[in-house]
Amino acid sequence: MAKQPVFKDGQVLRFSTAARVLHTVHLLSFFTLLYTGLARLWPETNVLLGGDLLLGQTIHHLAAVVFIAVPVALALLYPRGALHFLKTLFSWDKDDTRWMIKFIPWMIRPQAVKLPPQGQEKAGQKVSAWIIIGFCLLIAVSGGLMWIAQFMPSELMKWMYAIHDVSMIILLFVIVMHIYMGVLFPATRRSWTSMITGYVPEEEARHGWRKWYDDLKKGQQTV
Amino acid sequence: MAKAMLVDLSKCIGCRACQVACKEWNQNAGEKTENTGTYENPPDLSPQTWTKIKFVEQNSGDNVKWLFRRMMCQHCTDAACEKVCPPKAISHLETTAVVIDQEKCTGCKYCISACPFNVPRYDAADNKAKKCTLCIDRISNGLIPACAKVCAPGAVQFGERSDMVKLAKARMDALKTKGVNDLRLYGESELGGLGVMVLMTAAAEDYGFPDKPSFPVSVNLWQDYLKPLTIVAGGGGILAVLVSFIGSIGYKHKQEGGE
Repeated sequence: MAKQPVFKDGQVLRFSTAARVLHTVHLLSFFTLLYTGLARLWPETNVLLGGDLLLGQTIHHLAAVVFIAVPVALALLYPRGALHFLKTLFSWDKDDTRWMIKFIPWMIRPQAVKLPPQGQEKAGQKVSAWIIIGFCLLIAVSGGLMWIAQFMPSELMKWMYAIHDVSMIILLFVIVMHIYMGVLFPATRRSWTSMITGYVPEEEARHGWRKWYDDLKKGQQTV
Repeated sequence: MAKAMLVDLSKCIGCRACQVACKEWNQNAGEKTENTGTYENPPDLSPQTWTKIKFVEQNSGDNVKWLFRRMMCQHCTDAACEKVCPPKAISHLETTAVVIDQEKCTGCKYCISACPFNVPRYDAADNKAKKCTLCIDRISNGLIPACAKVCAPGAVQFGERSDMVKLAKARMDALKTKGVNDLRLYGESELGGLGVMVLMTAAAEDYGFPDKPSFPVSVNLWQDYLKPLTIVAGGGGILAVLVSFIGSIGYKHKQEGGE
């Protein structure tokens, strides 16, 4: 995909086109999966599909393929980007620990709390990404086995249904928080444009991801 | 008063009339199967076969001894299938029978994975789980289940639970005097008491029954702890969002330099 400039009109590039495509596709497929899944469990909610349970199942299966295939395909197409993302996620320093300690006071009273400078991803973003990736893996594996449940030992499936169910609830709540941080929370709500255009205002980047921003300025970091 | 079925395997002769009666009463079609070298047929329970006799071959000296096992829903008092069913399609009717309401079933297969006896079967034809209903349409009208009605040697009995226990105990005493050991009334207390108790003349595992049938750990962990916990945590999360939103009223985002 076409390279975008890192700095443009007072804005900074945070996410490549590939990352944004992945995010959008995952968002759409997640909510499709959530709705068709819930419509299977509580048929009274199955109004959009006119009560057709098998249609819901077919859509659930198709969305599941997209949900799993797109991140896998993008990781294979852009191995360097994927590796960089994972390295960022699993890096941790003292500022991250200090950030996490101040996270709750900051959430409650952002005007009164000064946060330590952060790298490409804030400590809280990293933790939420671990949870999201972990439970996405669990829900994908358990769901894949549920698809072929009739060939699987029932001892195994007794756990898979439970894992699928609980992962769904956890993901739902993490994503509610994620959306809150991105579009509502006054201290961070300006960042949502980064998932549409790829860019955030330069001031926003300097404010939120100070170490990453400084490195970018020095030309030492990639996006 | 709770009803119960007693399957006295010491009397079962493996004639499979119960299989036929079950299909006939419930209008379940027959299945084309292949000879696999045993009298046992069809090979397994299916959406169309809610009960069958399993022929367990045991070596006894130079001879082969048959153990007959009646495969069917055991109608547990503590029914795991009922607990996991999301649309609450499974319930106890007439105090004993565990019945899947075919109108409410969404074919999610949770009950299939939860059953300690591996009984319910998924029917791809209409996307529903199927199993024995204990002939709910008969017992709610004062009749006994079709299999009990047809059993020639009287191995299948149906009636008041206390009477069935008494009957089984008397039979066990009689068998003991004849020198038959290894007797067990399976389901008298297992899983809160099975609606279908089985009088066994061999170890439960020899028949293919779990020795100590239990409510699946995963089902309890999931339904009693994980689910409530995640829902409480999620509620807490939403509360936190509200607190945060109210707390940050008046927050000015620094557009100009210096933190």
